[in-house]
Amino acid sequence: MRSPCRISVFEMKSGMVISSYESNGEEISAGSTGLSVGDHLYIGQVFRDYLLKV
Amino acid sequence: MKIQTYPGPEDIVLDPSTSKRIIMSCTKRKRKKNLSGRLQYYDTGSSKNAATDYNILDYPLQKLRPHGIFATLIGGKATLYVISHEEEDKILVFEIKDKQLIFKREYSAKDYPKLQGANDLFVLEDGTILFTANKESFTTDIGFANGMVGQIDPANDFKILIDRLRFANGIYVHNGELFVTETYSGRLMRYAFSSGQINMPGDVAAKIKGGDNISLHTSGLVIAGHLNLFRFFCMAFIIK
Repeated sequence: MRSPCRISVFEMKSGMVISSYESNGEEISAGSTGLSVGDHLYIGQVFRDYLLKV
Repeated sequence: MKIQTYPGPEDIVLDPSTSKRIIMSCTKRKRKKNLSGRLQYYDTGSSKNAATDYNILDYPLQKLRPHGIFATLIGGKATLYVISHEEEDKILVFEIKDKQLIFKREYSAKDYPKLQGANDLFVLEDGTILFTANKESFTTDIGFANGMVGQIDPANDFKILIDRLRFANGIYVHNGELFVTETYSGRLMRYAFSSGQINMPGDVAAKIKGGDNISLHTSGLVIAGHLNLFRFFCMAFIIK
């Protein structure tokens, strides 16, 4: 069982929402947090035992 | 690249003293069983692909079941706030000292009943804690507007800032605005916020399907969302 997720950026000035990462649940499932550090996005998840670095 | 962690690294934040170390709250979710958790860190400059347990001082690791976390400088000290689902829900406060977390104090649902069902939190520079909470668990609260945002100020006084949210999840304050994701409605709600006061009603800043935790990016807010809540629920039920 996999749970698809998306990491979006809400641009406060423009009010636009831009998708920065999306998974059908295969690469990461139930992604719960996106954290931007340098040039990378780190994604946490609810169930499995790893962070994804994109 | 996958970075190995303890199961369930649900919330991740930056260590404010380095801005290069990720702090994560991990809870192994098991149905009808006692859960267990860890607080771990990962140095983003590291060539390793695994997170490391913090050395936690003055708090029993076996009680810890972390959920939402927030790290900030309070009086110049790097401080980590942790929602922990124990016998009663709590907010634990730790000072971050490199690879150690030193327990400082706790806020318990015994003293603040609305903390029961807490999910995520944000802490202002003066130590005021803002948290989301819901009356029921994620899988049983669907369809109800039982979510709220509560505030505990530096004098330890509690008040409800916002209620009737449809599963209140991530929370973030930026430039005088308070943002909350409502997981069930798929709305990112926005409220003008200053001096501990909310201007109601808020507005819908954006639609974010299954909105979860929020972090800050140079151009805006980074928000995770669950695209299929049914599948998310199913995972919650099948995890053993």
